Amino acid sequence: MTSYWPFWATAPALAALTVGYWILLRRPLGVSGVLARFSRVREELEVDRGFEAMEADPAALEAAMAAMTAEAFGMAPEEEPSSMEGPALPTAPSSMFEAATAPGSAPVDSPVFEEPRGRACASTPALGEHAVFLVALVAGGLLAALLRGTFGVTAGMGQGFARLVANGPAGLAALAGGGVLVGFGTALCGGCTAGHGLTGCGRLMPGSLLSTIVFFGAAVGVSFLLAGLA
Amino acid sequence: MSMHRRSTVVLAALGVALGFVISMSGLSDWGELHAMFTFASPRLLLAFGGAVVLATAGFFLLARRDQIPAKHIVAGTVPGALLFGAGWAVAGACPGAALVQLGEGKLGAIATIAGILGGAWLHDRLRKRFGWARHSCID
Amino acid sequence: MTCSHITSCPLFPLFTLKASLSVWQVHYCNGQFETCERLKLAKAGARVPPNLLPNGKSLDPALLKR
Repeated sequence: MTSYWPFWATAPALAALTVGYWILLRRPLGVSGVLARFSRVREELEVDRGFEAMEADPAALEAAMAAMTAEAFGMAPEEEPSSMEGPALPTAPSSMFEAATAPGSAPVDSPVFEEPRGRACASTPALGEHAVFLVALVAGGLLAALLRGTFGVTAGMGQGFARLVANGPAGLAALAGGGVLVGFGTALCGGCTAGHGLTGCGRLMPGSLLSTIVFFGAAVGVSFLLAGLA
Repeated sequence: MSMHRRSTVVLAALGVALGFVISMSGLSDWGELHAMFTFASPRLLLAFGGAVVLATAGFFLLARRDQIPAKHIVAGTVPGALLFGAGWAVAGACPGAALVQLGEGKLGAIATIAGILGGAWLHDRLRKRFGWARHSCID
Repeated sequence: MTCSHITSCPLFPLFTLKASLSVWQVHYCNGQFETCERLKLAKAGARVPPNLLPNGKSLDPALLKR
């Protein structure tokens, strides 16, 4: 039997990664949404192009926004001084990513924002960046397996799986079928163990708390079913 | 394609770290997950529960006022979670763990990942066809 | 009431950058968000173009290209 980390090593590691991911990237940690993008590559590339066009020239973006604001609300855009009073603000964000990560990025003098707000979410990474993330997950697994000396090319999922689910080709079919449930289910509920379980629950988000309880419950139920049917 | 160099390196490093932790903790081992789900071993349950508690504390201390994208309860929350949980028990992998399994040499994960992509594709088709609300405008 | 998508919308940080743009936020995100074209598309399951403004107009790409 392979020896895995005790819970008191895993817990802080996962927590640090969850919080660290947000602090460093201004993105909530999650895998299901990232993987799902690759089931519709063409559409996602189009979305990437859209974001890229918006972020390419911040001065042009600002001008375009000012024009659209004037058109929509019928008032002349205010002439903003290049430096504003109060907390330091980026005058022209070099990307939406950096704009969103500017600390305290709320104009102090506006009546709408009465309290300082924290950092906002960064814009969606490009598909290529997300591909890097997914490959990195694979690499992490490889690294760990090599370290433990358990790396080995195999088609199965271990003795438990072979005994309680299926062997050989039927096993592969079960994995694919399980995968379909995972892919469909995570898309439907909007997250996976990382997105809902770690990030969402860590922020006490109602959707995540409910999702986590339900998917754990379902996993428990099906597992007992599999054990009982064996 | 826009690439923020610095963030791509950080993204890669975090990805490797996450994959490493998932593997070292046993979250990519079908047998270990089964032991968690049948309460045969408290190890992974404590690991997960502890991670949630520590993450909550970490977010509170370091990112209290940050606007992390909200996850609301929507129509798909319960049915989606039920399907996901069932699939997790059968395949022994959530999306992240499936990729980690691939790295560990478990080629069966290719079937799992193919299934996940198929399931996500199917959901998107049905979502567009029947007008199921998206979780966010950039979903 | 605020729009439920406020924390995930890529336009929201843009609106909060300058006082002159906050009018979008006041009118839509914190106001009549049901009329936001982005929200309407998202609720219908459709893909929301990144440059779509709440009033249905698009940020003109021609203006954004060098």
